[in-house]
Amino acid sequence: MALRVSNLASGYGRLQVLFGVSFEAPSGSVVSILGPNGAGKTTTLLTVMGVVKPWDGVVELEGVDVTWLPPHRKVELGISLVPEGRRLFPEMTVEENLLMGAYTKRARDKIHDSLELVYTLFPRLKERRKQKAGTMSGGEQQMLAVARALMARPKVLLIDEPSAGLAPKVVADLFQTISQLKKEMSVLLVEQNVAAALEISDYSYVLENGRIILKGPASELVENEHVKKAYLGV
Amino acid sequence: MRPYIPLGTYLLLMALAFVFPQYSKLIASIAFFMALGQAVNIFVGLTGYVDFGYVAFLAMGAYGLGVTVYYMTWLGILALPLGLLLGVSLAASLASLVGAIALRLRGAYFAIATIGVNEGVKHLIVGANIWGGGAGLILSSSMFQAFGRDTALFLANVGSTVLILATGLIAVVAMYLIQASKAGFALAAIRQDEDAAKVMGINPTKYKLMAFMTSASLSGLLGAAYFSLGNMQVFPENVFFVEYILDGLAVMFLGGAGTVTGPIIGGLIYFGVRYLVGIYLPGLQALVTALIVFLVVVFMPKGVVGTLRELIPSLRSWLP
Repeated sequence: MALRVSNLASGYGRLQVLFGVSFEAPSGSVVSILGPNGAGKTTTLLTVMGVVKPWDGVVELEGVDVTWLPPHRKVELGISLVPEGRRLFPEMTVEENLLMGAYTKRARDKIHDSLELVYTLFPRLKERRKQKAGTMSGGEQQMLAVARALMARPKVLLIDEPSAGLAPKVVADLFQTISQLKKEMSVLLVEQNVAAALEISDYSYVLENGRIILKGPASELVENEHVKKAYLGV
Repeated sequence: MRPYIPLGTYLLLMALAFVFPQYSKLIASIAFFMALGQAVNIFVGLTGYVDFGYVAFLAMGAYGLGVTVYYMTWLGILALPLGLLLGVSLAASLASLVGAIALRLRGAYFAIATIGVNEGVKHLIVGANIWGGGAGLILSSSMFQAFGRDTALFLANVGSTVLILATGLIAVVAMYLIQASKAGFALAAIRQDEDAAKVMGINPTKYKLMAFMTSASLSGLLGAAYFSLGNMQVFPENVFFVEYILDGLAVMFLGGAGTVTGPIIGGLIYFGVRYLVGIYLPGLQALVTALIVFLVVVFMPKGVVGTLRELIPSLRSWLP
């Protein structure tokens, strides 16, 4: 199992957000965590990454307990995050952003190889490689955010709300590319755009009020009454 | 990158101080602003953090050399290198102590947390009555004894100026080395988006602390050269004078934060403006500092060097 999370609890200050969240992300698959605003989706990813300190629970990467490691150590071991809102380095060019993504020792050794890989996945970024990241369109910025995370050569890629603020056509293209990534790694996707996410997911979890309330293969969840009513609007 | 302007300016001023010792103190006053801006720039310019307790590092340097010369006169001329070493170590230690705790905080919170450091250390020295307490250390007779009269006077006049200029020069080299290394990229990322930098595998605290300690060490050297060696005295009211950080910030912003040449050009302009104001509107220099910072931040946020580089891209390599 690439990533296994058991009974994860965390929050901010005295406010608890996650109440014992458990899920698994096997390699070779796209797993999604779906849910409404404020359910704790982003907190889940930030806690897995170590940006938000866990209160309780276990995060295992390929069987190794990494729960208490700081983010920079987790990147080194193979967890990479595409943060919510993209969080590019706006004053750096596209290529400089990508090089920043390969900051760790392990990633730096494969930097040329990785650049070629992400330019093949996102040819648009190659055309724009000398452009300042802050001046690109939303869709291009999201591509860059994903590409930058790939430069770290992750075994587990966490993606937070990639569809936010993008046109449906752009979302479709982006999700198409994301679904290709699972060949090389395990992808954990957090989304509010439930329909789009279910389409490319192998397995999904529904998170509400800091607890997993539903889980199953994406093909089954599409048929679930609660999912249909609350998220798909049918 | 062509390092001729920063290196040339410092070397030229050094030569002038030797050839015209009667102007050495004037050169020292200019160089003090340049070197201070340069040292502040290594922390504030590279990380985007501001430290309002920063002047304590100047004071640590001044006390390091002052205490060595005052209490260990028998060291003779060795008191100078050992005193400088002690001053730099004190500044670096204080920075590591403050940084290890406060650099875990973000921007504004860090600035607030550090406000009290300068006053705290000052009141420790005055209140506990150590290192001369509130009366300070008058070093002239100790320096005469340790170095010999003529050497002491030469060191206080030309020697201190050269050391201030050397501090600026070391800061230029340090800035080059940092920007050309992995640390330079890490700091650029931290400055633009610290959270994103974290998930790139960068340990922000480590690099912020590194820049903080480098900057503090240089300020320590500067404080020793300017106060202890140059004025032959260390008074708590002088060396903990909180306005120096405002001067340092003004010079840095005026020239261009995060650039190598910025503080040099900023220091020259800043000194010139203060000098003219001192002649025509005596007593209003402090008001001018406030005004300069305000106007530059509003109308020229990239400073003189940053703006020139944007207007004339071919100047880029000349104005690193």
